[in-house]
Amino acid sequence: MIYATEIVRLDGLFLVASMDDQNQADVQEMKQQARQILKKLTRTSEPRASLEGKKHTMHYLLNDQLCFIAITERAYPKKLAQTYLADICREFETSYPRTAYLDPHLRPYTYAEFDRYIERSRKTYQDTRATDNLGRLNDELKDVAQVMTKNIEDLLYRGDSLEKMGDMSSRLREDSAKYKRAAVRINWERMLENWGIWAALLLFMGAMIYVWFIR
Amino acid sequence: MASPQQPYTDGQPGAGEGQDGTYNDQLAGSAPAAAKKKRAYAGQAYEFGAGGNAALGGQQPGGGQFPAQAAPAAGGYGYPGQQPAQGQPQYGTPQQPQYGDPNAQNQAPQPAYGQPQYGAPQAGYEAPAAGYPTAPQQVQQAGVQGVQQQFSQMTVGGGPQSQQAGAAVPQLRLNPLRPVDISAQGQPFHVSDLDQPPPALILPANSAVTPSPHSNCPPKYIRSTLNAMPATSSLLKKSKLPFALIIQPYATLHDSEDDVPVQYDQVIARCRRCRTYMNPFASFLDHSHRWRCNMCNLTNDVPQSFDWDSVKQQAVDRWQRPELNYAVSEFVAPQEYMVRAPQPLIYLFLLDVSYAGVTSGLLATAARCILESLDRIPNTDRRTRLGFMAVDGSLHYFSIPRDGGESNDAKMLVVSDLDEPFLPTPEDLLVSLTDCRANIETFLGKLQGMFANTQNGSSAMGSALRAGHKLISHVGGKICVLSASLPNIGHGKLEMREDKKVLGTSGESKLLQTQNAFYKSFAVECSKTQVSIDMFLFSSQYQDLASLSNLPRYTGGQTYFYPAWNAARTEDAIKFATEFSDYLSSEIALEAVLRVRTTTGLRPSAFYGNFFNRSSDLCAFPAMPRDQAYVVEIAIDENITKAFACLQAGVLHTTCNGERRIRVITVSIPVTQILAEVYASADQQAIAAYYSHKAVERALSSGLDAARDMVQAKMVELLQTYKKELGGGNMGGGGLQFPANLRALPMLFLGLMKNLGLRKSSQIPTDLRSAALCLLSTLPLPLLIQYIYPRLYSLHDMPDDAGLPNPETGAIVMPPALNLTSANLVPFGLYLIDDGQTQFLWLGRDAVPALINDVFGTEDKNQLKQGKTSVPVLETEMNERVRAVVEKSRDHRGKGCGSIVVPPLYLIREDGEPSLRLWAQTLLVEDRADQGVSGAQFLGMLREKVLS
Repeated sequence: MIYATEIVRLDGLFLVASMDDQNQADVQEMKQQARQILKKLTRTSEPRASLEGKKHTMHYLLNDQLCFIAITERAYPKKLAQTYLADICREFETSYPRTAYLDPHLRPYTYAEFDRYIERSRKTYQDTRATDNLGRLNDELKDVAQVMTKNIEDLLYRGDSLEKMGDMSSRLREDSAKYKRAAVRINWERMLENWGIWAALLLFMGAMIYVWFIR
Repeated sequence: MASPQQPYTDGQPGAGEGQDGTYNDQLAGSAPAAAKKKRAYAGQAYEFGAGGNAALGGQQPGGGQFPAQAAPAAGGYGYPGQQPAQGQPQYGTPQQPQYGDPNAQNQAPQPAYGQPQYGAPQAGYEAPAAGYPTAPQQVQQAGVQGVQQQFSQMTVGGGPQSQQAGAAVPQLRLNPLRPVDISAQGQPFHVSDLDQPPPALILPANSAVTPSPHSNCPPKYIRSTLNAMPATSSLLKKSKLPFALIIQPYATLHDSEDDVPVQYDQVIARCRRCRTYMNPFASFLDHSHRWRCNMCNLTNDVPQSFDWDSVKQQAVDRWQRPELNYAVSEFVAPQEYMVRAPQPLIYLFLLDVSYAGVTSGLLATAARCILESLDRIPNTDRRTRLGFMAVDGSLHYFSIPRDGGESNDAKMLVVSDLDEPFLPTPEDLLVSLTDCRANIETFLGKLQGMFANTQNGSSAMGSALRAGHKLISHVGGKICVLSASLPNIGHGKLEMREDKKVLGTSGESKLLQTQNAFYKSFAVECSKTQVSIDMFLFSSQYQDLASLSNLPRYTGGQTYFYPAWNAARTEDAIKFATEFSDYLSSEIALEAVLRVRTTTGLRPSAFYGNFFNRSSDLCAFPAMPRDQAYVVEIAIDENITKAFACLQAGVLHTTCNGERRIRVITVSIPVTQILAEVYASADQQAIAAYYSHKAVERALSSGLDAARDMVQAKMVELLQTYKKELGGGNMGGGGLQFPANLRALPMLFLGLMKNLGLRKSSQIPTDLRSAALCLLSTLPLPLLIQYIYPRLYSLHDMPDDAGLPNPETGAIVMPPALNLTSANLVPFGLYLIDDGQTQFLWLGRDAVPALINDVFGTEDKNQLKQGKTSVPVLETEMNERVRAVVEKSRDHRGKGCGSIVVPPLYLIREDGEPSLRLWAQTLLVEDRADQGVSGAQFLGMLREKVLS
């Protein structure tokens, strides 16, 4: 089951997004994650990947400046999803001139009408066991032999853990400096505690002697 | 740098010199080099000499000396004159966008000045795009000659403003108070008062950043009840006048008829703190790098793309931006304004196929009308989807296959479970208009036959609404209900509760309230999922409009009521078909939110209209129709110290072609400390509209008596306040003093109290009342005023040019309107009474056969068909003119608003059917009727109360 399909330019501009998926909360959550992934994608990123979430899988296909994203249920065959994306990609790039969709002044969702095609092909890819789809799978198997598969959480929080390490070490350094200062102070206090009375007494005696005998 | 509002009235020493070394320097005479150069220009100016140049030579603002020349030119030329400071660097040297560079100035300052377009008045302000880019080349040719001309224009443009500024700075002159005696002995109200424009909004000179004539909002979009607002809340309280805005975001049904400038580059400057959109009243400072919010005074950065197009790598002229020149403009919203893809337009039709729905011909007419309107439904992005459901005792779904498939026939799926309505199939219930066009047509053609022999008398409309909501809630859209029967089974079932004995008593108010809580809770649910509901109701029996109209009320929809409609009457069928077709074609806005932002110290405090208040100040419209107005009341929290206050209405919406846009409407209102000025600038029509909304709310909550009493008490209170505070000693003759600009108010209030919705009567069926209340709380202002004070035209003695096209504008000239009293009706006359919802042709008792023959084509008036009719098309001149007047009276666009309503025409013979005659007479507001007082009595009563 393919839940959502999106076509996004690598600068973050949405060109097309399917509409028929609004009432599933977890698909929306997946879309949010997809948005974060998008920010990390560049032209040199892995061109095809399937990223697994808890219930859903996000598949993407990079081509030129465009990123084609499909969110499917987790059990949906990865290769079929990639075939679906390749299909969408081919159709989109033949339907619209490259200069048009790369125009920097484009308003978001300019090609919303493409949703109709998405809707249509989504239906043909709906049933994973349909013989038609199996045949298609076999044909294209060699093309999509290498699809990177990762867990979406890993990808999302990979950067995070490094940052966390950095944070931790800098905190450690600050803390140690603090402890050092505290230790010095404690030493002083202890010395005062032990010898302070004697020192004060000595000083007092000295002063007395000075007053009485010398003056 | 000098702030743009005061370009050279006071020159701002220290800011002007290096920067705009042209004009200020010269005035100040401070920089010798520059002044020398300037004097040379001035000399040349003399040689080529004409008015404006001479003024420049004289080194003073020219307009003062040459008002006659200055005035006509100001509109076109004012632009450059006011913006020498900021404008220059960009115009002159597009390659050098930086402002602060004095060298750029000194090298080629003046030639750069955009001479080409300012020189030619027709290319001036209205078509700004033409001029600027070509400036550099033409400058070469223009040379010195061009220079001096620019100077002349600069002066001419600047003249009137500096002149005004000089005169107006000490004391701004607002509208003067003109008291008149409104009682019958003095100068009573005449209907032509209603054609007067509202009191002008007089702002201090240079309050807008550009001298555009469109910088303040035209009354078409926003009307304020007070066009000079009190500075303190105590003054507002003292005046007893309401302070509210009547907002009508759209003036027409289609964008093509209403020219609102659109900014396409997705650059939207907004205040960081109060989120106000950039508007003509913001001010620029700090070398134009920053701007000051006119609402909260916070200084914000100007976005870079205001001056520099980073894609084309060239300078752009910010002064051409619509948001700086027009009070009403639209932005194309960038991605940040979307939480999802812009929703497509979706229409789901719920058709009543119960016995009443089929036998009245509703199903057949509706199907046919939809079929013929398929081309008119907005579908530019080819995403529009339609769905159909039929409802009687069970729910009928229709699954329509795509064109070119194996089967072309729609499948009907019947669900009888009304408690838990479910969708029998996930697909093909909501189909694309483009992809399934042929099959939709086939289906609509067959629809009527499918239910031809039904005997089912029940209607499960509530359950159908639930099911329909389930069908489209994932995207949102419009549910369009066409029903001729009371929903009597399933969810939200209603009972026949109208009791003739209760009408006209205090028990009636209960009938105007909702019978079943379903209609409120479901409406809120719909609003959350961007589903809007429109009701087209046709019943000849009680249909409980009071309950059903709740659904449109909270979802930004509308209730259309066609009492006792029957397709067998041609007029009925045509009226509904025309209206429904216009309804389908209108370019509604989807998933819209409206928010009003105000100058610090003001606060929107109450909202009236058909929408749902999502948070304290956010009005949510799943779909925003184009034929409604909304009222927002404004409270004054702190004293306003500025000379004028700004209020901005922003509507974020998706157009029906899938574009996300923001419509921004900014209105600036002068502030005054003086009560007389508040009264002198009050807008009587806006005040009437405000109280109309307020009265409807009161009627629904605490009954009709309370509503009428409130309106009447308010009128007395206003007159008393005026007498006490401003009446002074000139009460000679015992007249009733009131400002001339409020003269119509008593009659408008009387009309409101005698309106179908609020009138004291035991004859009015509840459904008609509810429908009238819906109209009173939604109609756009011009139609609302006409609804409470209808128009009366005398047709038998029209002036010679009336009923014919105006030779200049081509619009039909209307005969002069008359006051609504039977004293104006002569027995041999022919009259048109039009309240915007119904038209009456009143034929006098003694009308001469020649007149009847000329208009209706028959000499014998007994052969004329009374009631709903239309004027026959004849060759005679009189007939043509009458038809033209009747037609023109229906023209909404001419009134400055959009509406789908086509008022039916009734022919009334004075000596004919008494019920019809009585009905028409209820529109004669100033007459005594039923239990209502006449206009003169009302005024007399007011006077007694005020004077005692």
